[in-house]
Amino acid sequence: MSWRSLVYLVREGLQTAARNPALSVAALISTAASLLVLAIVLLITSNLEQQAESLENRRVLDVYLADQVSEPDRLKLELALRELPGVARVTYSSKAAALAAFSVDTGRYDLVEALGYNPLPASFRIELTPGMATGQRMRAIADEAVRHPGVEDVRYGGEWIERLDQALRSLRLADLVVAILVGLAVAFAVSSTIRLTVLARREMVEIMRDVGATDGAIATPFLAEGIAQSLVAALITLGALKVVTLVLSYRLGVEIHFLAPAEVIGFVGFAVGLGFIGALWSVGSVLRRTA
Amino acid sequence: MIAFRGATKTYPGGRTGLNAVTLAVERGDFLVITGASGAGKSTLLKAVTFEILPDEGEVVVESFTSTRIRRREIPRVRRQLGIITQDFRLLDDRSIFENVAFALRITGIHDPRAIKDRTLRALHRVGLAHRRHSRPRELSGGEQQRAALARALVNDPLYLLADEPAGNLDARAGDQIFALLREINLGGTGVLVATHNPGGIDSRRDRIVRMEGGALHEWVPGKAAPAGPAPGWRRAQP
Repeated sequence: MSWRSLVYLVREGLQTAARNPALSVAALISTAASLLVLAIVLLITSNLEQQAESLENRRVLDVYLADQVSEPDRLKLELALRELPGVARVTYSSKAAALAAFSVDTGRYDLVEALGYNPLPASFRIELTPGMATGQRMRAIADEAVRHPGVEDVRYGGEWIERLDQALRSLRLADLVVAILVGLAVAFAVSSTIRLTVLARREMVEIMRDVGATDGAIATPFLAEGIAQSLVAALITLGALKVVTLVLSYRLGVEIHFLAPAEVIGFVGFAVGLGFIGALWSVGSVLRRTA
Repeated sequence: MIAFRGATKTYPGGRTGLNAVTLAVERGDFLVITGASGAGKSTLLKAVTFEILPDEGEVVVESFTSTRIRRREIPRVRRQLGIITQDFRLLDDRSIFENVAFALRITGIHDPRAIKDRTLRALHRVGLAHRRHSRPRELSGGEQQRAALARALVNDPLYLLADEPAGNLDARAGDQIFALLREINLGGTGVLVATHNPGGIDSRRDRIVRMEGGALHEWVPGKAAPAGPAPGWRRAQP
């Protein structure tokens, strides 16, 4: 097929859609409605993922030191902690820094006067590399750290971190299952819509066949129409989703994040792919029947 | 040449579309295929376009043979054929000119001058050039069939296949279509017309065959009237 034929056939598909606005608008609304379901699932997933990520960012271990640890021992310990697998950063907080932070947090500046000494220990805060902040890994680091001389105690979320891990795993799995089911339903709905469009133009297919058009030439206008239809439907869906996000954020007083640029591109690509496959499937079955 | 050599087609469910049909049609022939509804007339024409392929025997259209043809070659056969049906099949969303030009564009002809010249020539042949800007629904049935005929002619086919071309027309419009088909035939295009109405047949000039239960009987000139039963009809032998 020459490029002039391709351009003509693509234009033919788009012009035919424009000349039959009732059918095109109905197909557009139907496709956009199906895509909106998927977009909402995607939005919920995206926000849950962000929440999960922020929880993971809070996964740190605090290693408390005995008061009598000498400076060389502290430095040796710091080096040992940095060497542990999964450790991204180790930050030292002296007794004085701990007292200052306590005073700021609680508003009590008379602790030392009341007790006659600073009871707060010096500590290391261990931050983990992304992806390594599992409850299991944190327990292993804590077990390793506590064996070092001069370490009095190691604190981290403990069991709740592991419970959180379990909950996030279940959530992601459920989300994936929902996304696949919704994706399949949307694929079917979009394909069916395009199939109706093709069937409504069956006469055109028969004319093209009778005058000697190749299967590729017959399919191209419908593929162009299917792609254009799903592209426009995806953009309408994203616009509607943006409005819903803003309204809900305002009404509920919580921050709901819109989809990230990569997710937007992925969503549009998915919709266009569905349009293409739906049109291919529909026009293919019509072609087979009108061989 | 179009040739059927013992072509048999049985549809799912057992209905016979073609029953050992043997027939040869030359480019200059004017062949009228008669018979009742369901007798196999349309199946015969569909076998010529390779829309259906026989289960037994073969159909040959110029250099293409049904037993050897590949799916991607079928459009090349159809470009040598012009097809009209009783339901006209015109696209309501465009003018008559665009309906006719569509057959050129869809087969890869994009030169605007060639499209204009060939489309107008085809419309002139059927006496419809003055209605080229009209939409199909603005035309009478006879005019719509002439527009469909122009579309079938625009690619200069070797053969014209007409399946009940007057089926949806009144007698006068039907006669006009038959007159046009004869005129086209005089220009050297082979014409195959399937009709269950003997009104348009000229038994002195036309080659007439009759389909019955998928079997083809050729009328022998000089014997009984073509619409009548047995005496003048003989079964074509493979």
